[in-house]
Amino acid sequence: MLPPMPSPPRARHAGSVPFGDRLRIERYVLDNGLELLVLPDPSAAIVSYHSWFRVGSRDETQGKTGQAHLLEHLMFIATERFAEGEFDRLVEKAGGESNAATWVDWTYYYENLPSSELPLAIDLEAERMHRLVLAAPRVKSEKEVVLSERRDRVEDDIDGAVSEALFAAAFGRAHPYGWPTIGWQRDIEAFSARDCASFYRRHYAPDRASIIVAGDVDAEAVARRVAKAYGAIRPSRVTRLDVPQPRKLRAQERSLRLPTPTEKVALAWRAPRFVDPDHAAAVIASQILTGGRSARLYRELVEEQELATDVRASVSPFEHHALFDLWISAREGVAIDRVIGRAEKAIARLTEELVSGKELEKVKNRLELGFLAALETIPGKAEQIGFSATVTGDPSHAFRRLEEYRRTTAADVARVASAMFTSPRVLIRVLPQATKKPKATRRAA
Amino acid sequence: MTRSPRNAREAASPRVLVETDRAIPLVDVDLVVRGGSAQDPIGREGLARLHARLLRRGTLRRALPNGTTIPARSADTLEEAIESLGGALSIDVSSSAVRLHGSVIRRNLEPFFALLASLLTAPALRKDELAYVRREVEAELVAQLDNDRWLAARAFRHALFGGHAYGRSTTGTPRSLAAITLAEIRAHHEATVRGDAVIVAFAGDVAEAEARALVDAHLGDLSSGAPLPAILDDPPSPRGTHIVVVDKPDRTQTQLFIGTLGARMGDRSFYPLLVANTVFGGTFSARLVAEVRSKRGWSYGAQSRLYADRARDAWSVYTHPSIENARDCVALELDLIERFVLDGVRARELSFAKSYLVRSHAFDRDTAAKRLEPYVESSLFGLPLAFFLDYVGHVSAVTLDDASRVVRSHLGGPSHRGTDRVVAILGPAAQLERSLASLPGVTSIRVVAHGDVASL
Repeated sequence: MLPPMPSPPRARHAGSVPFGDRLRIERYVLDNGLELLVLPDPSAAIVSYHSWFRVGSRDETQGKTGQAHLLEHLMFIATERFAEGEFDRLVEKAGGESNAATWVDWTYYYENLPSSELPLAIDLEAERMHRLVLAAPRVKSEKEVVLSERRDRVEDDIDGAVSEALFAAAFGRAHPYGWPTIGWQRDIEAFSARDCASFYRRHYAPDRASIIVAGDVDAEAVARRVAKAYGAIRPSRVTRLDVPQPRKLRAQERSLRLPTPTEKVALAWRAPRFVDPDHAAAVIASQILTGGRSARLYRELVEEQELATDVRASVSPFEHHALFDLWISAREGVAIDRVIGRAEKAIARLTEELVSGKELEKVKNRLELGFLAALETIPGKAEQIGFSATVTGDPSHAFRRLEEYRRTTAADVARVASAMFTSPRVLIRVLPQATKKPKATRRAA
Repeated sequence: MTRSPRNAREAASPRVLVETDRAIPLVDVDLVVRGGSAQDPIGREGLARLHARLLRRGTLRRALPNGTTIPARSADTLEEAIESLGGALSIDVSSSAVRLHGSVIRRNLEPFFALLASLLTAPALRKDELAYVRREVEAELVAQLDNDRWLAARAFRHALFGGHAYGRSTTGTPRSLAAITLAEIRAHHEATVRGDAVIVAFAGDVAEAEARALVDAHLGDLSSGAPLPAILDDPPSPRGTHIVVVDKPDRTQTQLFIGTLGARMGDRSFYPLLVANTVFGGTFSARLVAEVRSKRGWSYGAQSRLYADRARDAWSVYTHPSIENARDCVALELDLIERFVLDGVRARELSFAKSYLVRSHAFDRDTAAKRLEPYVESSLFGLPLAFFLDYVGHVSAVTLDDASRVVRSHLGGPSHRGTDRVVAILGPAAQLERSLASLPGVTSIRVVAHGDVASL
């Protein structure tokens, strides 16, 4: 008598959720914990294949910052089956493009391909989930690439340098939300291939990931292929560490001297985290202040008073703790403290007066436009699903969020603004550092 | 379902293009006016852009052909109205066109289009608003001193094109901005905003009949006039290797552009050069990325790009090596270009690049707005539609000989050896100038203070 054949890996259909009025997301789960979310959308003959891993810079430790981001780079180099450079060559030859991103809560990878090339994406992504090759010479050269990226985004970039200082001040350099996702330079320089392998084994596994497939595909067929490619990969069964409670934010002010012609300021307050129902009201508050040319601070500082060239604000979309940050660049010759005073008055007004129905409706319409624009393309839909599933557990959360915006009242905005803006804040002034003007020269070599 | 856009009106009226897609309740509307910064008179650089900025600074009261009246609006009330409708407006000025790009949630299309159209048909063009816009642009030029890549790119174009329209600043310089008068702005408006120079492109949740009715109602009475010249002379090609160092102390890295002239849009050399560019630096698998990023780790960003317009625009290579690696990186890239010119494209590279370009073309057509683009470009450049629509056929037809020949004839420069090019590099001149001057074959080297780039 023959022993029973092992049953082939299977993707269990775990439900179906609407994604707007016309589309539905089919959800599957494999025995090893991998979640698969498929959005059939025949609007173009393409497919967007996303792999979202529940690992980001918050999963690092002090002295090893930038590990998640460095590994993201290394994921494109080589696997046991695919030699160095083969990953990009195969994707590009098929007419596709691939890239990745890392932030505090997640890392994701994507391939956008003609829909006929879906099997290639499945094969490549399943392979690099468990058979990555991390050779020391390539880890070394990729560290150089990351250091180049850091020079470009931080050392030689005013906003990047200030952002790093702002988050470190708001959360503390020892808190996972306080160190930069790209990592401190000396930590990047110190990584070994062994460090990278250890991080990879711990965090890259099917039970730490969601696969999102959007495009001109059949959900059942995708599920069968994904089950076959990923079914044998072992789960890590590593429980993700909780994010520690950051220390209470102390009011802080500091000045940085940087090579820039104009004064600038960045301010930050603690804000509701992304899944908090009040996050929507915080976003609306940011839009009232700086969302568009008719927003309060833009109109006052840029247009009416001509004190600033740029104002912008955002609420970080983080899972556990967030910041409301406000950035203003003064015009040449304008002292930034003049601008700060006016900005603080506008912020105080938000906490003291109810926003009018007309202004609130304008902001909601702008947010609806942004929501729709993000869903214009198939890759845009895949990204929304991946982010929502990873951070909120609900793959169609973007639609819930739109409803939350619509439900938000003027009283909600005032309440959330009061809670945020009457708390301590971090303020970083940027002041121009003196530089010698060199003499222009011309000569034949 | 999509269908071919149709020209809804005869000459002397705006050309209307529509691509309907009901998937999302969103409509993109582009008002494209032929004639961009290349038409700016010498000494009036920035005129087209200043005019475009002024369009959104207030409109006059206007009676529509159907008898209804659009009220006058200040800049503030215009912006308030656009955003209240769930709309967004951006204005882009290139060498050959001014593009007002609007997006709006479907339910507010009609009032949004009325606002957008009023910017063209009834702009106030007031003196105080010109003064405001001028101050705004001057402040932006100061703010650009933080933007190292922009500074290096600007210096590159100035060095490559010299006094040709492509070498002059689209934004304008402090001196040219100061010289532009309101009378010149008004004359520019009269000359360029004419029915036969405007293309109106609708993409998204809108039917053709509705789009046509909107244009008839709001833009139906635009005046006609002589079309702008479609031809622009090619700029002269550089001879020898010319380096411009944009001096900015306190940098940890450089911003590096190397390049020469590319191909004219519509020219027979265009598609072969597009394929060749893909081989050189158009993908992660390309020569440039392999040598500069993957092997040496010198630059996170590494790409080459072919710009296309009515005359020969630039072909350029961009990287951002550290100060320490800058000289070696410049030497490597110059050598890569020379070898590319002398050795040509390899068969395997050609096959790979064509496969990439043909198969990735699906992503050039995956939204209604992108599907409309060939029609807009054909109309804008006065080129046969087939030049754009038969992209796959054109790319597929490129042979090894075609690709290698255009690399020699175009990227090779007058010497056909790849030694005629411009290098623009931003960083501390004290560390860069001497080391770059020692490179073999350098014809000239010049240092420009980064604070002076806006005046180029």
